[in-house]
Amino acid sequence: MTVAFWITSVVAVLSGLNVILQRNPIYSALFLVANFFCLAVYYILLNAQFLAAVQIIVYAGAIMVLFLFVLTLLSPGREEPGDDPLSRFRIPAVILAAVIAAVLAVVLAQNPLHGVVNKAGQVVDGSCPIPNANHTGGGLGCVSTIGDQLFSIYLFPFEITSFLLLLAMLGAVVLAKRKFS
Amino acid sequence: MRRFDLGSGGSTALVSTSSFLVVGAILFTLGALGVLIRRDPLVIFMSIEMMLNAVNLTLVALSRHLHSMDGQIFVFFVMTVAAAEVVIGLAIIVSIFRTRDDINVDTVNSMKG
Repeated sequence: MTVAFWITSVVAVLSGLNVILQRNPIYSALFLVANFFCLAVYYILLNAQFLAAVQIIVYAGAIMVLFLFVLTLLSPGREEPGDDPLSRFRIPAVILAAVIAAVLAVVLAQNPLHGVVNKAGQVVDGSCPIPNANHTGGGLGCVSTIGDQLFSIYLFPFEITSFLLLLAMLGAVVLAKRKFS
Repeated sequence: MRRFDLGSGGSTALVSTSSFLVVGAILFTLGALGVLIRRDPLVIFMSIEMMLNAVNLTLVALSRHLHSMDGQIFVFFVMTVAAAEVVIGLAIIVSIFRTRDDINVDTVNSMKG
């Protein structure tokens, strides 16, 4: 599992770098697909099998196909021009990103989340105890557990989500059908 | 808050929560950097998607750490919102391109005050 984690981390960081460094947006989109697959591997390592499947189907399938459709629709082979009016912002942008990374690293180095759960279900060197009762139904990340939670505690947000998707569909149709002079 | 066990098969030599948080931080920083230095709105959108995915990874990692389903359910909703956002954003980009044949974010400034 640790080996899988490190291999996936290298692929994820390299593909993420390529997303923002490739000049052709098509290549950026394809590297983003690789990045999404890495996240699906992370979800499987984190015991979230349902989310891994949803990640591949929704993100790598639906959303990236939409991106590639729009990319090829607009102007195929389009690249960013050589002269760069934003070049004076590049150095501050890199500095800002380094600051964000430093702040996140400091926060992560100070937090107590170094616990690992062993086979007996106890947290080794961690801060969060696990209760040993009320383990009904499936475990963490099972489809049955997700459905159980989604249709009981989170029923109202789930219904709101359907309304949100309906509104997004309506908005896209309205924006696409508008006539331009 | 209801707590869940990890189920069978998922309890051997687990990677620590901090490692996933560090990867999430790196991916989020890369996304923020992409938003700052790129001028193609489609690539900016992809960078935003990468940031959303980094936050999703953090939520799932903490969900496992706390043995709670709340993080995973939240990731489910974030994915839905991201899908709606991409649909509307790409429709706006296409309509901008149809009106002015140019979607460079530096030249689309007619609403600038």
